Amino acid sequence: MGFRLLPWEYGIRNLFRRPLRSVLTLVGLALVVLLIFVVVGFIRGLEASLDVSADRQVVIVHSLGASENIENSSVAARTPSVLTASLAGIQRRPGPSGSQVSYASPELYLGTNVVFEGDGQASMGIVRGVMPTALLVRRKVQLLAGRWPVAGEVLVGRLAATKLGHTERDLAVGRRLTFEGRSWTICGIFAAAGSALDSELWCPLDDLQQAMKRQDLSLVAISLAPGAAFADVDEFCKEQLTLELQATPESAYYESLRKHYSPVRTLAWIMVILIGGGGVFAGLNAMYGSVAARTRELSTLQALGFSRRAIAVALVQEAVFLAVSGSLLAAAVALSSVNGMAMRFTMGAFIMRVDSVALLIGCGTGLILGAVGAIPPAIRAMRLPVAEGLKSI
Amino acid sequence: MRKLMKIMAANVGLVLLLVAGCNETSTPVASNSGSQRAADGEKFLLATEPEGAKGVSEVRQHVKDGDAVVVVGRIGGDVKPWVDGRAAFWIVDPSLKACGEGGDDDGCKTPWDYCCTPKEDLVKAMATVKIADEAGQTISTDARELLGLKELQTVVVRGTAKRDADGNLTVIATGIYRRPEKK
Repeated sequence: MGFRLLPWEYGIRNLFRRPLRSVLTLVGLALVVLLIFVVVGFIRGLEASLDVSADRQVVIVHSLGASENIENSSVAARTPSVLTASLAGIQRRPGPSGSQVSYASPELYLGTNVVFEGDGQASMGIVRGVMPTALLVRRKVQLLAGRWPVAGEVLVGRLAATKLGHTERDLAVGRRLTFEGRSWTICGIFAAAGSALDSELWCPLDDLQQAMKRQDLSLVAISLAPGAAFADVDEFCKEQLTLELQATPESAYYESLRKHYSPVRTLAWIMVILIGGGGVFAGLNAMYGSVAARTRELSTLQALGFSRRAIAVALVQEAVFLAVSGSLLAAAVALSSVNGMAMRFTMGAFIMRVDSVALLIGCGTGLILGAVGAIPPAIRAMRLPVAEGLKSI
Repeated sequence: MRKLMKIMAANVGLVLLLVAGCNETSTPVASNSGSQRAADGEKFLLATEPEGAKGVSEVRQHVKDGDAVVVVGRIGGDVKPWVDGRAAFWIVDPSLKACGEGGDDDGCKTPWDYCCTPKEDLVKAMATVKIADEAGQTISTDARELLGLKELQTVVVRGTAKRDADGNLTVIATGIYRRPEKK
């Protein structure tokens, strides 16, 4: 490097010479980085939920113009039979008595008020009326407890409690809910790999239709056979003008939802930048104070023969070491408490994810905070004349 | 002590490297040969307008399955009247006015969706147009690329009518004439 550096231990020992200040700075840095982990974990969780929700093999057939608001979609009850009879590209499997079972799931999808047993307050929940073929199309759904619902029963998603603002105990098997003017008994719990389905309530389709006094459907979800083209479904829907159908790949549907939430993500990233900026200024303040308190000591080091650059590097080393320690502490807290936390959101609920990208951003920000926060005070320390520094109190 | 500090520093650096992850997704980029597709579409484009063109609504009332038809309409009926990747699209009877054409400009960004027209009236004035190959399969090229079409363009389609039990009209086109736009 061309000049002799101060011993590494000098910077470490300095931190222990002023333990209270060091601890306060460490905790402050850790809090800033933890906040960044929380915000990035929120963004990553939201994005992951939308990514996982989309199945590239699934096409949603809904009413014309309802691609961005499936709740308002209404298709004729005969749509599933028309689709399965006319489209060769729908995946099929052998059924009982030599029949073929098509991977077509007619569904009724709506947001409605849900009232818990013994609780007068209503919460907005997402209900989906389904048939058993839903399990063929919604491949990520797995039953965790209980069984498939029969008349008067409902299956709850793993994150439905978070969506409804209640505890998991309130949605245990055997408890009762009321929605659409009827009482429903919880018969099981399902998980859907962290997708949007995790926050839904599933009940038998015909049961829900009777409760709502309607015979139509919201959509038909079909699973394409390997090699089948979405264009076949799109073309068929375009020909069925009287049914007023539109086909949307499920991946495109969730992509449009992702765009819908881009202002939220943008705001979250702005928060990350602001938090990081605030951390830089706080670090600058702390380091300036630290340098000012050690003016005589730093001047003494210069008098002993250490160059100003070496002293500046030592100051940056101290700050970076504190910042990295704070980042690792924040990472440990984030991984143990923030990662996996269920978060209620408009579209349902999702799980916050402190994944490798979040760790990189959080720890990288911490590193930058330490370096950037130390450089101006280090430069200031370099400029101080030795004679003046030795005379300072 | 110095050795211990160096080991600590190396470990910190290693941890930071380990947490670095990246997700890369790559989507295959299809090579386009737009000029080739346009050249393929030339054989379906007619140099002169076929005689006896009738509007979509009139054709829907009288034509039967398998009849030869010449139908005129404007491309539209939805925000996306095309079938992506296929030579198929919707046309609407020219008597219907697209959004903003009635004199009052409502600033609609997609006037070809005819959202100002009641849905039940619109559906009765629409037909699907498909360009098929010799085997009867819809050509796997977007109609916009194949024929140089765009929304609200008036086209005269010569072909064979296909009717189903619900009365839906599909025209299997053998030729398409693009009417010049009025200036």
